[in-house]
Amino acid sequence: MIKQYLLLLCCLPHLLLEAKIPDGYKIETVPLPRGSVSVLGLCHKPDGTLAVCTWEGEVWERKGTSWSKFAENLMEPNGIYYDAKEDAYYVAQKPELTRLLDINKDGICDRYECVTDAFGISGEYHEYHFGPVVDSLGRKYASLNLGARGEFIVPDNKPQGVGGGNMSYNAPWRGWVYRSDRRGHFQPLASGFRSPCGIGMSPEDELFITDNQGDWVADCALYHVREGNFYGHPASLPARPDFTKEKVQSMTAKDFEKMRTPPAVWLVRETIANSPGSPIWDTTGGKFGPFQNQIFVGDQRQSNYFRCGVEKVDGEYQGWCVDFLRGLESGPVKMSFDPQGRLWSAQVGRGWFSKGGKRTSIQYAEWDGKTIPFAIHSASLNKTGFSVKFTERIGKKITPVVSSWKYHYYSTYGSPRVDERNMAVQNYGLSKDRMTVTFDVPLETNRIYAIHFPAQLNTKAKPLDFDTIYYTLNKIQPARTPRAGRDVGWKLAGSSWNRNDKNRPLPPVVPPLSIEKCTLPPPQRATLLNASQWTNPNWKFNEEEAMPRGKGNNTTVKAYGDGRIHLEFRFDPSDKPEWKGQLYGNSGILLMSAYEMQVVNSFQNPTFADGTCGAIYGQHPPLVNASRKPGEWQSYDILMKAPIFRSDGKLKEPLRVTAFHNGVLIHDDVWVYGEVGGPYKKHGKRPLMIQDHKGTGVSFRNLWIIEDFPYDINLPLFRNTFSSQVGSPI
Amino acid sequence: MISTRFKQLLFLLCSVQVTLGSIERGQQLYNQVCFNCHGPQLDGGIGPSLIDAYWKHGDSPEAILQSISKGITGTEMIAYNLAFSEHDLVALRDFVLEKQEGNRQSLRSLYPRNYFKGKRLHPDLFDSVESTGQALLPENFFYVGRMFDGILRGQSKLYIKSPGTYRMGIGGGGRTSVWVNGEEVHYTNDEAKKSTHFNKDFFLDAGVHDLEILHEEKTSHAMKFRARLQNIKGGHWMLTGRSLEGNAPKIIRPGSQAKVVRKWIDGLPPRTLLLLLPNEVMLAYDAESGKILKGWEASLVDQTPSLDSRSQMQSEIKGKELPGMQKTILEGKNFSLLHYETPGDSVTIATLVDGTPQSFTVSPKGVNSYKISY
Repeated sequence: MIKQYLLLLCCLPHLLLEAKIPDGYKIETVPLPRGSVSVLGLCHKPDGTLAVCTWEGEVWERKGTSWSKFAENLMEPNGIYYDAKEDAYYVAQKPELTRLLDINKDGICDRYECVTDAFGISGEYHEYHFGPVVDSLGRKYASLNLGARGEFIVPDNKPQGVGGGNMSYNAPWRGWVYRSDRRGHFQPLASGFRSPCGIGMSPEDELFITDNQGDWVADCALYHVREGNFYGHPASLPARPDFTKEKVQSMTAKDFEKMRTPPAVWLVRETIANSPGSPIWDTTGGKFGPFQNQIFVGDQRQSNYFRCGVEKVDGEYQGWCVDFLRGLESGPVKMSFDPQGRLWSAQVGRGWFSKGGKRTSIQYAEWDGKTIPFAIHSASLNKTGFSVKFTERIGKKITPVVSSWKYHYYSTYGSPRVDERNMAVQNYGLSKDRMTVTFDVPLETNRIYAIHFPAQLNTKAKPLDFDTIYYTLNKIQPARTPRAGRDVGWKLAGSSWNRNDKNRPLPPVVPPLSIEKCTLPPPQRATLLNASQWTNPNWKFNEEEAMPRGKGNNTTVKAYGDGRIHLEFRFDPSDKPEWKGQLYGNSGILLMSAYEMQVVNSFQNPTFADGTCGAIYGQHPPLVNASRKPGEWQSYDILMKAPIFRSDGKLKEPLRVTAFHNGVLIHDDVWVYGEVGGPYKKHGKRPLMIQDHKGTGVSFRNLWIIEDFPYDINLPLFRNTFSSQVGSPI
Repeated sequence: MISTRFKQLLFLLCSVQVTLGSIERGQQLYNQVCFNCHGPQLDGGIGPSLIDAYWKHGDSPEAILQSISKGITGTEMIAYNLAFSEHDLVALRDFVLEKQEGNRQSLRSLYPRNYFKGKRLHPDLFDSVESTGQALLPENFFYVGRMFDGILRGQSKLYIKSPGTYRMGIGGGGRTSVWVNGEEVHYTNDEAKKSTHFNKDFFLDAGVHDLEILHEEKTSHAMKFRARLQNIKGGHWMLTGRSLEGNAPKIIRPGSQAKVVRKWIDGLPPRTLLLLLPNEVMLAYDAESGKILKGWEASLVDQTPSLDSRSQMQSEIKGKELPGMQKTILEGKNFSLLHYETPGDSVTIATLVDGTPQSFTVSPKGVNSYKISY
């Protein structure tokens, strides 16, 4: 470890150890609240109040220049967020995501609420909990660290201590990022993280995470997180229903490579980052200088701020990072812009040595509103090379020196630069305004490009503070840009998938419960939806009391709101090769005539994830694919909470669905984003609808509904309907 | 220069006349005035503990006298030379000093490694070389920083109350030489091909003794060196530890309002709620089972051990464990904590029990008990 460190020092002539504050910016330090061991998180309220959370478990508020203690005795809160709508703070403390309420408005927390504690903790000290960050729907996201010590590690056949993995999975959902949209809701989103200290939400509701170099993680990285993806560290895989601990340990790096999503931006070790904190987007509208909409990240070891940007290339984000400011007092881990557009950071140095040297600090960076620092602004990939933008007109043209390398993906702690070589630069071009340089360079995928402008000056002979920008080249521009999917007026906030995205991972196949266990008879207070309950005469019940799909959609006579629904369906077997995918037995259960749960044969008949049997169509793939084969009866058990609208027609609370397919949980209290074909439109009770659709035949039977069945109170018991929950981790 | 300073300290120590009468007078004064902030047992309250290993303003007899006489600026510790005579100030100092036990007045000096290469570690070697850094450590144990590359020299006093046979417990690798009252009692030389080592028992009478630890630390992420003074009849003091890096010890004490404390404690589930009531009773409530697991009286939570670099250590509960505190508060199968509040002297906890919200309140009862109301 120390050998590598010394070697890197010799190899990097650009290693800058002294402070570098860009022109027009200054750093101010703020006195700490009494007794602060380390400040771990901070946020601002709209009125400018600063709130910080500390390692030793306290929350302090700063109004003007005075500190007052708001809450205490928490367990290592690693992030704080102020929800203006609820007038409450959220902190991710080790055992739970907690909401802090000052009910009597005396400036002291009165109520400590447990929002979710559904993830596991073994007590191991490294099991940190970072966040929360929030999407535009107000839903909270947080990340969970693996343990530093424990039994379950993934060594990939290497001896421990010599490349054989070290971070361990000691409790459910460690190494995952999750969403919690209300008390009791816990929705794991993505796995494969190691020490996901940095978590951030872009203004477009895209979730990003920074992870730290270590075992299975070649270098520090900024990931664009998509729901259902796996990001590289295999220790968190046993939480998925398609993996067991034994299976994971029998797999190798080659196997995991096939499943993982690479980082959008590698944060190059030593020059940019060693322990990056949370990313934050400059949405100050120009108050913080000429870097609007860029991503700012602080590094805990380098005591710096650096900037990143991402662009979509062939459907996936990749991008660049460049150093921005050096010389902070300690190690920034969390960032926040205040209403004046100043960038604040909570900094911590203990444990993981920070260059700044101080144990902890709170500092902010401020821009003077006019001076443009001469800096590399951003970089973008062309078809044959790059274009690099500067903040000011450049002076003499300097051809950049470009080198590139790649990283190993394996269980060893970090990767050296592999196959590092210089890349020949040609066709230097400069834009008319002298601010954008373009050049051609051989483009090889899965490499990091270091684009260095030695001694580049601007027109006033000022040099760059930082003269190298790094671009993570995962993919090159395709011949044709992929077509954007159909826009139906809602987006999957925080999930980052497009509707009907063919790249979305498919739900794992699991065994269903037997039909005997699933064919539940209607309870006394249920309404049996027999022939008299439906409006479409083309759908007739036959001698078996089954109702085949007929011409035109079928709706119930009565309208319903909250309800508990049971129904069974069976696909006509077909051996015709053309009736596959979405054509093999297609129908749908449209809750309240508008919100579709997909009905299609998904037994050995793959289709896109959010069109799989049981999906909330276009939105939520089922957690698992528990399909039985055509010719056999299958069941849905659905608990739904009708959406609630405000008097002005806007949505107040979304439709919520919890559902089982063949007795296996496929949706756990999911938030439905809108109607299957468009955004929410205010409505009251509406009939249940079954869809007619092109494709081979499907029949329905044993349909019943308990109407006005209160959702929230019944949810915990409903979850136990079949007394087992596949999808719970080991 | 170092030796001279050390000799000065030695001289001061020998010249202090600690008489029995002085200690009694000090105790009298302590029980009238000081106990208000520093606790009747000297274990702290509003003011810091006077019997722990942390002395921010120095723990030599001279330093303690200075703190009492001149006070500590920026705190509630006033200059007591305005209230007491010199004789009484000395008495207070003697009383406090008499309560001390263990490793004290830790002076740490650091040296470059290469000066000592090939030489057997010995106190005399240090007369001819300048240290790279020297400090009187507020925590009375020795430590070095991350990736430290060099020699640690620790010089301190051992305050012994029970005479008996003692020995050093040394671990973590690296050359080490330990001297007590000028005599080498431990030696490890792992520079040699075959590691030489001896560890001698030694007798310590009640009183103050000189300790000198010489150690060559193997550079690593965190200090590996461990040193302990062991009484062969049982008990020990750590001579090494983790620095608080400028912090003061952190204790969570009972107050007039009840507190709910979330800390990681050995032997308790990590999600335990510690209910700390104003009558100093603490209950460990397991929200995931609806049960009270344990209870203590005269209790507090010492967070200090967890304040080190990455909080790899747990916090500790101090107090007398009360027998028979186990109790099932809520009956059911599935528990989900909703929230807790601490109105006044009680704790109210709301939980979802098998889907139904239920709540209960825990209040202090008497001096060492509690009551539950639903």
